[in-house]
This record gives sequence, structure tokens and C-alpha cells, in this order.
Amino acid sequence: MDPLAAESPLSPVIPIADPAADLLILIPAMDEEGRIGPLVSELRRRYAAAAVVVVNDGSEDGTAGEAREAGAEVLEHPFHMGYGAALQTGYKYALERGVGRVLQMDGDGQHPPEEIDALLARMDRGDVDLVLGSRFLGRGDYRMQPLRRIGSWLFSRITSGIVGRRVTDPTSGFQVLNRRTMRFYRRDFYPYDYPDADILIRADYHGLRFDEVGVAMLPGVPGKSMHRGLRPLYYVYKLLLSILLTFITGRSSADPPP
Amino acid sequence: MIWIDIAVVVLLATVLELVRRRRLREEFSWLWIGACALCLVAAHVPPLRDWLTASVPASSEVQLLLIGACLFLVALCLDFSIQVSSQSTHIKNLAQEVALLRKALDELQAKDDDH
Repeated sequence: MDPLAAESPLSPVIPIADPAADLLILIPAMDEEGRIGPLVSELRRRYAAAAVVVVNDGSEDGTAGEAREAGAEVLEHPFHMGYGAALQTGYKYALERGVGRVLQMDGDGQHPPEEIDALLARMDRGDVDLVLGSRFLGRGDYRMQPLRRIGSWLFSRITSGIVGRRVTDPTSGFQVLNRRTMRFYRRDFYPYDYPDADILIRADYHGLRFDEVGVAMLPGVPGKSMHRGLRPLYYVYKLLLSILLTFITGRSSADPPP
Repeated sequence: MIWIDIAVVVLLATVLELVRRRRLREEFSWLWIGACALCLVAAHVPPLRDWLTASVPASSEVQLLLIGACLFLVALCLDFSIQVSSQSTHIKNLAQEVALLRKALDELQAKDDDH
């Protein structure tokens, strides 16, 4: 039996107000004052039936108030824990409320709301549990520094090699998840900081089906990159470790078989 | 080897006192108590000490002590890393639970205000 198919007996399913709105737009936010308000307003305008949930990950500015003002539901972390932990809080919330699909996007304006429909359409065609928006599938011309471009290319090649099919943008934070994927990502292995290609590899090994959709993305806010300082090095380490563990055990012992 | 006895007695007394005052939990005291016991045994049972000195490539008791101390510190650090890992997972899960509970509470209070 698929353990992901069964609801945990500990999570009471509280139906959301509008059963037709089976979509939750999840935005992890850390110090996004000035950007989060307009984004939430636009999302509310485009997707009036959807819940827009901002997870405030210990911001020290007016992010939470601005998001609330614009019509978002706000989940407040008592202190900063990281991007991954904020996403996971959102998944737990969505699972608890019985929401079928979560669309996650960044609060810094990097992910344009116009692209959401394409991601949702792919999910609604069925046969996938996870849809990733890719910067490198023809749409838009996303500009990167040469070094990051090389790194990004390398990681997507490695990921492609492991999962056995072409993956162009494994670190994309612009995604749609169904409940099966949420139930997998709510587990304790999920990283506190940025979920990278290793998580996608793990999801693939676990039997979750994913696909990529080409989307246009805008450059992020300068100085707020998720890959700065020593992070690229840590990223290489995490990826190698996950490959190593995958090859040694075939499947991480922390994951029950699908 | 009187200085080893003194050191061990002082350490033992400190650990026991900490446990008594609940500053150190019993679960975390075993490594210290174990190290004290090992030191005492090694200091007072010469055959065992000689065997240990020969079996690890140590040319003197002083080296044996240093090697033992290093291994002890490594074990301690690993134990702490494991503890910290599990603690941080628990803290994260609790903090997420707090965020979800606060949201549920806000909704309940808003509903209450409507009535």
C-alpha cells in the first residue's frame, strides 16, 4: 500500500471555506516589505477563489502586516528558520486544511504571476505529483553570471543523470505540488534552508512523478540570492552526499518504500 | 597516580552534583561517569593499563592518557552533534506547530468577535 495515499490519523481535515477553491498559493517571505503587498494584491485579483498564504519567516520589517493588509493569510514563524522550513509550514497548513494543490512562489517578484496558469494546467492534466517552472525551457531569457550558469548547468546534468531524464532547472522554487508530494515533503528529512536538487532526486526515488514547464522568470532582488557566499560549495556537498547515499543504499533508509 | 584519583573524584563529584541539582540530565551523564570509571580502572589495574598501552601504539602511560582523552572528546562531540540534530528537528516542528496553532486561534477569535 502506498503510505503517501493514506492520511495521517493525526491531521484532522478541516474543509476550507470555498470547496471550489482547491488551490493554495504559498509564499515564504523574509523581509519582503514593499514587494509582498503588491504581489499578494495581484494574486488576490487573479485568483480570487484561492487562498494566498504568506509564511512570515521571522521578518524584522513590516512584511506580515503588509501581506495581511493586501488580503493574505499569514502564518508567523516565531523566529527565522529558513526558506525550506517556511515552505514546509505551508505544506503542513495545506494538508491540515484539505487543500488539493499548492502553488509556491517567491515573494521577491522573481516569479511572475502570469506564469502560474501554465504550471496549474500541467498539474491538472494529471499523471504528475509535482510541476516545476523552469527558466531554461525556451521561455524568456533569464540572465545569470557565467559562473552560476556553469554551476547551474552542471547540477542539472548531474540530476538528469540520476533520475534518468532531462531536468533543466532542478532548483526552481516556482512549483505546483499535489497532496502526495506535500505528504512526502512534510517529513523530517526536508531541509530548513533551500531544498535543492537532492530533494528532487529523493522525490524521484520515492516514486513521485514530476515534470517541468518553461516559464519566464525575472532577476531576483540584488543581494537576496539564495546562492551566495559559501552556499554553492555546501550545495555541491549536499548533492554529492545525496548521490552517495542513493548509490549505497539504493534508497535512503529514512524513507519507507513507496 | 594520586593526581588521577583526585581528578576523577573531583569530576565524579561535579557530575553527581549537577545531576542532583537537575542541571545535567541522567541521560547525558553516562559518558562522564563512564570516563571516570575507565580512568580509575586503568590507573589501578596495572595489567589492564599495560595491555592498553601495548595494544594502542602508545609508548608510555602519558600517551595512553592523551589518546584516551582525544577519543573521549571525539565521542562527546559526536554525541552532541546527534543531540543537536534531533533537538533542532524538534524545535522546527514545534515552531511550525506554533505558527499553525496561532493561525487557528486567530480564526477562532475572529469568529468569536463576529457573534
